[in-house]
Amino acid sequence: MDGPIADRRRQTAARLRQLLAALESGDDAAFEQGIDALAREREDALFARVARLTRELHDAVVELRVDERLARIAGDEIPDARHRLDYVMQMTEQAAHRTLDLVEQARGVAVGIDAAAAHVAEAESVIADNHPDIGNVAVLLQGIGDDLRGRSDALRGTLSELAQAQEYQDISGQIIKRVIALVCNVETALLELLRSAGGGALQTAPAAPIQAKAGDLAGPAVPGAVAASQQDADELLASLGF
Amino acid sequence: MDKNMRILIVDDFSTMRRIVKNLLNDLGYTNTTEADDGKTAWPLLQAGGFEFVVTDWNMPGMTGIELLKAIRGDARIAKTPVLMVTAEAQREQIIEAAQAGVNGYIIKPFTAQTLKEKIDKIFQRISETA
Repeated sequence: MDGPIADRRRQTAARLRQLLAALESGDDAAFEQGIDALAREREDALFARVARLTRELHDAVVELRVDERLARIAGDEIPDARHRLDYVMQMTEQAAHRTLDLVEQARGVAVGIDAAAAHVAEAESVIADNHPDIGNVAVLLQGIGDDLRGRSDALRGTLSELAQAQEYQDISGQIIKRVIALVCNVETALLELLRSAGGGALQTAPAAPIQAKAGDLAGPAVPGAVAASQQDADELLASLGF
Repeated sequence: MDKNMRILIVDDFSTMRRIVKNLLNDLGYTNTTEADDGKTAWPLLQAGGFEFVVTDWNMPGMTGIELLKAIRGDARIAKTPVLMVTAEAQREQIIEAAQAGVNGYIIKPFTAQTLKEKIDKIFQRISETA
């Protein structure tokens, strides 16, 4: 019978025979030494096994915690973040439409101001007459004044509503900040999981952004990213004969 | 150029469609129709009568580049000028659009002035080659 167990048996048998020989020959010192060495070896092996079990237990506990955290992130926090980002989308869209509505309203005021200017021209032509009807001019001017005051009130109201419509920036900014914090947590938990799974030398930040799948678009350029400006695009198209 | 020409605005964001429409109105082009992606735009274009298309690139369903290629591939509407208005600002994309036969390329965010310049240039070129 071969193998490490058989080897160990043979070695132990040989040592026991040596011990027996030492005992029978009356060599007490050699016998004591041999017995001690045998006992120490058994202890060392036991300690090594206990140490290994301890380490495995520790790793399992660490992994379990990371797993728990990842489970919480995947189960609760990511759907929550998605829900929040949906809300940001809705809110910004609504704010943009509200702003566009108000801009259209303000355009209406501009049309009204044009109409008032036409009335001023009308008053001017009355004055230019040889025998101007001053009474008529006064009525015209008063009408114009009332009209313009009404329009400036309307414009002030529209402008203050326009300012209010920008409120979304504060709220969406706060929500996006929370989502950024969540992304950081996910990153940390994933790195810990990789480490505990024995992923040796890990970098905390990737050297390059994750490669987009073929056919994926780069999307809006962000500061610091390589992207063409309108001028670059114009030059590029010009060089292609556009 | 005919200020009353029929223009199709294709963008999946309704706010962007509105902004483009308002800017076109300011430039005197009031005959506009909207579509929210290439898929919705295609039957409208097939029905005929559009003289100019302003399209986004990144849209669900059918993207702007696919729409552009489809337009160029359909003899009846192949000559319709197409202006791409998009946030895609990679050189490869601009080249891809050029190769697909785009008439102008505007990178978002853009100004009213840029829109005017590109439209003027497109129709100036068309009248030169006509």
